[in-house]
Amino acid sequence: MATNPLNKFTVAESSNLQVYENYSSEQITCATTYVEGTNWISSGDGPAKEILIVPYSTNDATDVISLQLKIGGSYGDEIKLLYNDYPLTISGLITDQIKMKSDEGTDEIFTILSFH
Amino acid sequence: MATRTKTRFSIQEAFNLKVHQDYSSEQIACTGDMAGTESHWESITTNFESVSSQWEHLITDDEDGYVEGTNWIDSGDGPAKSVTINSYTGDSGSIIHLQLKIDGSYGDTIPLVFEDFPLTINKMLIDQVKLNTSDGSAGAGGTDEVFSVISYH
Repeated sequence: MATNPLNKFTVAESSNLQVYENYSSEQITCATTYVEGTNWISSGDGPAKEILIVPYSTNDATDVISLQLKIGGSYGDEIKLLYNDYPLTISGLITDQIKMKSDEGTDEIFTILSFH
Repeated sequence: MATRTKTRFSIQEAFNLKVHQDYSSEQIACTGDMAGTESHWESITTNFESVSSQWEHLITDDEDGYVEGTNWIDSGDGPAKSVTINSYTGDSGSIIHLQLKIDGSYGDTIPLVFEDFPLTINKMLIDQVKLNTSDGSAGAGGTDEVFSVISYH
């Protein structure tokens, strides 16, 4: 339920959230500590309305990948998934930035496609 | 939130962007990237007799190795509201680079593996797409990866 004031959209805003003006793309090479992607607020892209996270490298299906989304300036809960669970699409949400880490080190690479 | 002026669609525009009036389809045959082009240069420097034919190939390839699809603005289809890019033939491990032209200019390169396709991009107004491949094994004038592109307008 939209109890947070930041989540209260007008009809026009919520309709706009479902369509996009532009896209951006980058790659994140994971480490055992979190690696942040582009801050789409600072970059001028504006917050991402949808994010597609696609595995790029070939890795162990059972590698544990941790993902966090920054919403309204702060990171939320950690999302733990297996490498084999990707690709992952996150939509219907306004995301400032994401960060990822792997329990395997630096051999996991993801292509991040974001829509703004 | 749609805070940038260009992101602000009217309610009617936002809803219209989610439905389609027509579709078009084409195939894009990737012919290799700059790595392939460099090999042509090596061939030129070691085999002067083939200079003319190699040069002819170089100038007919896109400078950056990309092959463009139809410009849907120029074709009269109008911008694509949704694009599905299907892998038709190719090597599963090849690296494919994709760029989307939005409002007249190409954006970031999207690197993906061939086996990641099909890919659908929707809810956005796209003028044109272009693709290249890391696989230059088919050689000069050859075809490595082929994609079927279905666009909805």
